[in-house]
Amino acid sequence: MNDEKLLAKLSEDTDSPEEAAELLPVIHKLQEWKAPPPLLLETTRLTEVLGRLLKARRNSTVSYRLYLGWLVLCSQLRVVQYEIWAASFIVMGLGTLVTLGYSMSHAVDVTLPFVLIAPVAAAAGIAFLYGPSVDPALEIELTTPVSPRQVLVARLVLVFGFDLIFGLMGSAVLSLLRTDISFWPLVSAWLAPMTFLSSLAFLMTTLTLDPGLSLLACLGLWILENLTRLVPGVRLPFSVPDLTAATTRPWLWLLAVLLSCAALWFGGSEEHWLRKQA
Amino acid sequence: MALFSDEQLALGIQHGRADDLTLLVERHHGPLLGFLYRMTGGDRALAEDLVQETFLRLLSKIDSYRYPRPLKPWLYAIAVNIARDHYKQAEFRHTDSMPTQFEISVAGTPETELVTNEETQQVATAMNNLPLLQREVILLRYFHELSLDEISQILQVPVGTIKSRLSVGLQRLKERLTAER
Repeated sequence: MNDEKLLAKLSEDTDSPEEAAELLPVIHKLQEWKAPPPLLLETTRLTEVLGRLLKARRNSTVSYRLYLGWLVLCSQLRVVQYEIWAASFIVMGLGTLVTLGYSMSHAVDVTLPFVLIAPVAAAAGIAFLYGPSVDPALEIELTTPVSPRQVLVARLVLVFGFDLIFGLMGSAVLSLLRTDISFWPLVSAWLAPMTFLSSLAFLMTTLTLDPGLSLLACLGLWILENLTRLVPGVRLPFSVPDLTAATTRPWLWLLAVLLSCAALWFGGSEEHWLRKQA
Repeated sequence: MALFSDEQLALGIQHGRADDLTLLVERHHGPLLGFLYRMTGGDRALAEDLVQETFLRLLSKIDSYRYPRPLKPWLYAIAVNIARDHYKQAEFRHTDSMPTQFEISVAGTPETELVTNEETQQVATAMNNLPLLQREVILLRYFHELSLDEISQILQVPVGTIKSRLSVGLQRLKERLTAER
């Protein structure tokens, strides 16, 4: 740019031709500061990266998004500790056997052992979904284009889905072997408390980053809730709502949604904070 | 005169045309690197990272682009925001935001290089001592040929504020360069 143009520009900026003339040498000096041009290799690499992303956007159909979701689920399948699967399987299996034995010697009602065991089994698995000890590969995760919340949702879906399937299988076995146990009433008796207790465990773990503490808290709440059923004759000094009752189920569903949203919000924010720290 | 304007290329990118994306990157990679290199006080590697982030953000937001809105101010607005974010994070981490030694690019004979290097170092140091808000307007105005209106669009502040930042920034620069001589 020649001096005439520069002076005109400076005059426009300062509203003073005298000031503009004074500042002209400053601009001359300033423009001596040359920036290095980009290397051809850098431009090529950049266009390659952007080209791949553009291609992915072009293919961004519903099926492509579903495929991406499936990939995230598969990746988390390897991350979730295998002990969680094994423990859930054993506890649900034992719950089914205990309920079968119990139903042979007792009158059947909604508070079958299975109704008490399934929620705790699921909450235990969910409690171990998150936390520093569960996330040894945090740094690798942070470099992936998947958001921390998507990762948490994927793990939640996996573990809760696994427990749900085993719960349904256990209920199906019980209703097949015992004519006095109906499938749907049994499922609806444990499903709402299981969802509520799992979401509570999830929130507790994201808040405390301590799966053990979260599990203990959920277990404590569940024992307190069922103490009068487990130990006949015990009276609590305060009233505890019956979480297995049909009337409390809508509230449990609502609470489960709220707790899960809070856990995802807090878990994602915390991951974001860790990302900043990393 | 370019065969296709930036705005036409942006339209092509919206339609998924990879050639248009390549053309846009080739056209703006150098100027953006220059802008961010000077914004980061001569940290070339950091500037290159920020350029990449600028293009990634442009691509992720390309659907919100409305033709024939000028693209260059939008691109520089993204770059400015990315540079600001970088400094905010640097502040958050309590690390030095500026390199202590600048890697200054000069070309010429060894003698002229030595003199020029020293002078350029002075300019770089003087620029880096300016507040970010003044530094960005001076760079956009005197290195990237943007009008006051365009800078006003980029920074989302009135033209009067831009002029005031320019005036104060240039005066400070003048004082520093005179004092160091």
